[in-house]
Amino acid sequence: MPVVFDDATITRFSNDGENQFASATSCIVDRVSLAIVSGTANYTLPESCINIRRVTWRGKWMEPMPHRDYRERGFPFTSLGEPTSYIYNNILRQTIQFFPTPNETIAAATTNLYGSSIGTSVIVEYARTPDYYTFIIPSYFRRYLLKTFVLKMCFAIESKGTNIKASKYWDAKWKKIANDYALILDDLHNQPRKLLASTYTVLKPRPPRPVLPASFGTYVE
Amino acid sequence: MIFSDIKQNIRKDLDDIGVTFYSTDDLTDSVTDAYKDINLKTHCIIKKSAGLSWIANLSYIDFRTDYLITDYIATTAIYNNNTNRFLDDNMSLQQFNLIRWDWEINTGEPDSWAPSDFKRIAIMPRQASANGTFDLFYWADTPSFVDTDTPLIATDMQDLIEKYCVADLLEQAEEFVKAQTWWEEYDLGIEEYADRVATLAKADLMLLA
Repeated sequence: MPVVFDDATITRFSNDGENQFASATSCIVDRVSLAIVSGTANYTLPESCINIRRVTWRGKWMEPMPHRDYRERGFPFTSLGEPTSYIYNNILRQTIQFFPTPNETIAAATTNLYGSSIGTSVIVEYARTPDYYTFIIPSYFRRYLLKTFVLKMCFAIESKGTNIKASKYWDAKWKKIANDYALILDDLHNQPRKLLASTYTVLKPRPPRPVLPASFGTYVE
Repeated sequence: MIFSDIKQNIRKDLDDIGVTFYSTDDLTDSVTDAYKDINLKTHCIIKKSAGLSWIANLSYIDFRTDYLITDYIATTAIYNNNTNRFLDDNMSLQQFNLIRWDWEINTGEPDSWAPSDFKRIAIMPRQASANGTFDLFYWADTPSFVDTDTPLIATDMQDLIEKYCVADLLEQAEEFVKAQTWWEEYDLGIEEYADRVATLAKADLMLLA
């Protein structure tokens, strides 16, 4: 049987489909530990970063701050201290900025980013692009989902196998099952399970950690 | 019904008994996809892994890597053998943040968990030094199978595999209109079976069959 679509074409479209699904659902998660230098506010994020999910400073959650708020609260003054916020938009490409500017140097951790390194490092958790090998979309639907995308694209390219009717069919199929699987992912991996405990959220009493507000000590006329 | 019976029915539905059009690989791939799709949409395979040791200072557990549970899909419940209690499952990570902004390094006996992503769940608090065990109840992926195995699907719902595969293979042959009838039957069956699995699980709230 003659080969209509070669392996390279199929792999290219399979990777493209995986990129689209991962980007639309932010389902592939990774962590990086940043090497912090005292007096330096901006740090480069990995190329694979799509969006930031969580940033912790020695285990303490940091608040995302839109650039507009930063301009109102801090810019253009430079303040040094332990950062409580990070600015994630309208700065340099793939760059995160801490506010206040760090006043200490912290080495980057290379292991245990989900465990013992959390309390000693600065960690950025982010949704990432797939690498098609280690960081992939869930294996329990990957093959069938990507098959629909590959068929959609293969039937659309100019070749002996061009079939616009089939391409449109697989396009509709891709959209439907990508949506179905995205909903399943959201249900399984984003929502609290609520099978055992009450459906009402009960915040249990725990040892408090009082924190002064960000504006504490600010001069007010 | 075993897988070879199901495959025989599929070939009969496709008028392909003599293996003239669809290869054995085509059929096996399609049956595997069907099995996974049914399991994912109905959560019909639930398993228990007992006596797993807590790991010190681990805030996020990746059961595939940390405990080598290769068929793990998602957690349904965790029973802490140290306290003889199930961990609370009614909070999200955002709600963890509301309790403590440094909950990731909060240490103590674990009493809550929340999903983080498709690989990991978060535990709060985490143990400072490893002590004791827990039991994990989880939705599992489909096992690999041979023709003489029986699918882990209710007996009267095993024909869902047949419906899926006939539709899938007709699509492969670009017979989209013919496939539509089989997809409609499949979708109706999935809805009914998912309802049944959920109803059965309500009886003891543990999703244990």
